[in-house]
Amino acid sequence: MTGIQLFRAIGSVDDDLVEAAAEAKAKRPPLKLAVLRWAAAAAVLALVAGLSVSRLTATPQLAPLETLMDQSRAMTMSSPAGMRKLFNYGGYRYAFVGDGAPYDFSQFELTRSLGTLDTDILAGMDSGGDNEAARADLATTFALGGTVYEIPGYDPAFRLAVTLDGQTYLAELAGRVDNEPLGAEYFFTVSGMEAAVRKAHILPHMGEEPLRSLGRRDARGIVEILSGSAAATLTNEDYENIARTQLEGGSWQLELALADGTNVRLYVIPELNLVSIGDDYYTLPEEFAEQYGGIFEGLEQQALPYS
Amino acid sequence: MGFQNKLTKHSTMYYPEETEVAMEDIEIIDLYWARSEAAIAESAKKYGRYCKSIANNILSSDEDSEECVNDTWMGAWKSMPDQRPSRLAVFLGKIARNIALNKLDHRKAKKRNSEFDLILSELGDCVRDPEDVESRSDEAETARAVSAFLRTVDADSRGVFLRRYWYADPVADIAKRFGMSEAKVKSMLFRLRNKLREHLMGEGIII
Repeated sequence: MTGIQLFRAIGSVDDDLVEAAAEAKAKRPPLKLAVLRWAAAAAVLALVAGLSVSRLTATPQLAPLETLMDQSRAMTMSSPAGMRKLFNYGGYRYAFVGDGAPYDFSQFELTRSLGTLDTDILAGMDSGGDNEAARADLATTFALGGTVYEIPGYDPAFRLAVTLDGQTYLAELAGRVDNEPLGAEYFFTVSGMEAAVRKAHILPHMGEEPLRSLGRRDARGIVEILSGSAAATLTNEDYENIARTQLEGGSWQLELALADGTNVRLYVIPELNLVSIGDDYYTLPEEFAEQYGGIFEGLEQQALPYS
Repeated sequence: MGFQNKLTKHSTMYYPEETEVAMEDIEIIDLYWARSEAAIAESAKKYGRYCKSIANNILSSDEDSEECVNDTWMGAWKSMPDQRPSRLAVFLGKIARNIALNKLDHRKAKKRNSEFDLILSELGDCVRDPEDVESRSDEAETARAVSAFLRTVDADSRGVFLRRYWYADPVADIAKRFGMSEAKVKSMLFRLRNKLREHLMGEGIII
C-alpha cells in the first residue's frame, strides 16, 4: 500500500466522522502565531553552533575553503574557553560557522546587503562594566567592518554571509540577543526541517563517525517530537549535572541529514532528558523517550578529557 | 439546529459571501431527484467553497479546483436519484476529493503540490514498504479499519487526523482550527499515524 492508496481509502471512512471533523473547532484560544512569524523573519536554527554545512546538491555548493571541522566541533555545549565568533542581527545572535572559516561563495551572487558589522563587542568588554555593545545590532566579535548579506536561496533567518577583505564567511543563528530561548517549535517550523530531513545519525558528543543511523520516517518522527520540546529552566546544579554527564559520555550528537545535503546537529542527553537547540536547553517531550529512547541504548563513547 | 447553521457559525470556509439563506440539504437533494438544474445552482451556492477548499488542498490550483467543483455537481447529478445521501456535505465533499485525486494523477508529472506531497509522504510512513503498490486489502476494507481505529481515539485526535488526511488541510490551518500549536498538531499526527499503522497491521491490512 502507498500513501496515495491510504489517502483514497481514508476518503471512504464513515460519513459521521467526516461530518464531525467538518464542524471541529478550537476549544482553546490559538497561539499568537504572529509572534512566531515575526520571529521567523529574524532567525532560525541554532543547534549550539553545531550545525555543519557539507554540500548542497540541487542548489549551488556552499563549502568551507578549508577543513575546519575540528574547530567547528569545538563550538559545542561544553565549548572551550575563548570568545565565540558571532554577531547580532535583528535581535538574534548568529555564530560564524567553522569558527570563522572562510567559505567558497563563488556560486552565489551576494547582492542584498543588510548592514555593516560596526560595533566591536570585544572592545566593550575591555572597558569593563556593563557591555551594551554585546546587545547592539550589528555588534560582532569577529570580522569587524564586514558587510552582512542575505544568501540567495537561503532564508536570512537561517543563514547569512559576511564579507570582509575578500573573504566570505557563513553565519548561522545561535540564539537571541536578549537570551530568551528561541523555541524549539519556532526553530523546527521555520527551518522546514520536518519536510527536509532524510536521515538521522547518532554520533559521539565529540566525534565524527556515526554510531547508529535511522531512516527518513524515524528522522521525521524525531523532528516532530522534538519540536514540542519546552525550554528548560536550569539551576546551577543542573548545569553541573550536564557537565558531568557530558564528561562521562552521556551526551550524544543527533545529526539530522537534510534533503539538500546539509546537516544539522543537536545534542541530546537522554539521562537528563535534555536536548540543546541553539544556545538553549530544552526538556525532551515524554514521547521522545517512549518512541526513541532506545536509539541510544547500547552505544558507547569515550569519556571526554577533563581540561 | 441544522447542519447548515452549525457550519455557518463555526466556519468561514463553507459558504460563499452571499448573505442569502442557503437551501436545506433535503430540499437540494429533492431537486436532484426531480432532475431540476436548480440543484446545481443551490449546491454551488451552499457547498461551492467547501468543495473548492478540499480540491484546492489537493491540487493547489485555483483553476483546476474550480473545474473539480463543476465536475462535482455533475458527479452528484449522475449519482442521484440512485442515491439519497444522508449527509450532503460529506457526499459532495467525497466526490470533489475523488475528482481532485484523479486530476492529480493526470497532471502529476507537470505540477507538484508540496503540501499535499507531504501529506502523502506522511501516510506513506504508515505502510511498511511505500514502494509496494500491491495492496493486500481493498479500499473499502481499509476504510472500515480506519473508521474503527478513529472511533478508538478521542474527539480532538479524530478531528485533527481527518482534517489532515481527509480534508488535506495544512498543519497551520489545523493548529488554528483546534487552538493548538503546530508542533502539537504534528506530534499528535505522528502518534496517530503510528497507532494507525499498528492497527492496520493488526487487521492484516498492511504487512
